[in-house]
Amino acid sequence: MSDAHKADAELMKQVAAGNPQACRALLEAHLAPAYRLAFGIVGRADRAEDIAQEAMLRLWKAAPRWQAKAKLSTWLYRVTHNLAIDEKRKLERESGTEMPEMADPAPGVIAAHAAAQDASALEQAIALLPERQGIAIRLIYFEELAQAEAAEIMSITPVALDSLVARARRGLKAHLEGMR
Amino acid sequence: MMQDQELEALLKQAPKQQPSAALYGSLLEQMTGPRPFGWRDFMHALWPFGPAWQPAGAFVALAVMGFVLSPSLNPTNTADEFELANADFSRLVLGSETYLDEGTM
Repeated sequence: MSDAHKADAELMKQVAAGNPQACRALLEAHLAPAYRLAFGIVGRADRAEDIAQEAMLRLWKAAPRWQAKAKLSTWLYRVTHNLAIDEKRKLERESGTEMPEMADPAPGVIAAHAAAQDASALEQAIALLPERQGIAIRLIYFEELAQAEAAEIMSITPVALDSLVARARRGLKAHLEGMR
Repeated sequence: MMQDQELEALLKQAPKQQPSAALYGSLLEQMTGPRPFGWRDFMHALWPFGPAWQPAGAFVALAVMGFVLSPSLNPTNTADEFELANADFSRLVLGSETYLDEGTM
């Protein structure tokens, strides 16, 4: 068992006991990354907050039963990832259109998506990537996760993740070049 | 064409969105409040050593083994055999058909 796992287990023990300091530490360390991942997938701040809240509450409920075998951040990212994907599918069903994730979506969709997010050119370019490529970029570059952890969250092998990131980088370069 | 280093720098400098303070406050309030006691907590209270499917699986496996193996044990025959052995013993030792447990007084 690694030191990180032990530290996570100790933190979760304190959270389970209702220690306010531990709850604050848990939120400060993990709420923002969970929110960013959710936001990156659904592209809407309100939905991203709902997803981050749900994921954090699931983590809190699991605290008394927490086993030191699991890494807290991996567990949380995985739950957030799955919740966000489900939410994105739901939004797509509700709107009757697919949210932008294709290599070449319609310009109107790009504009609406970009305006809604008020995002940078990089955010727009990431939004144009296929969904899994975008998630891989966010986990590796924005959350600075190790490849093995990011691969575990996405339920793929590290080799597959490597290939996904390489394709994402090529796609990003092309999209950013096109925006200049 | 954009260079790798340029993209790398752009990715590293990307602004990081933050959740609202309201979300943080609401979560902190819930987490420091009373904890709900669900069925998972109940299962954990019963079996705190790991996932509850482990003892449940063992119980099911034992039940299946019992169900599969019990016909071969045939407990009714065992009772009959005991009575026959008892009668044989009575005949040999007491020289009669009287069973030991019926008494001869």
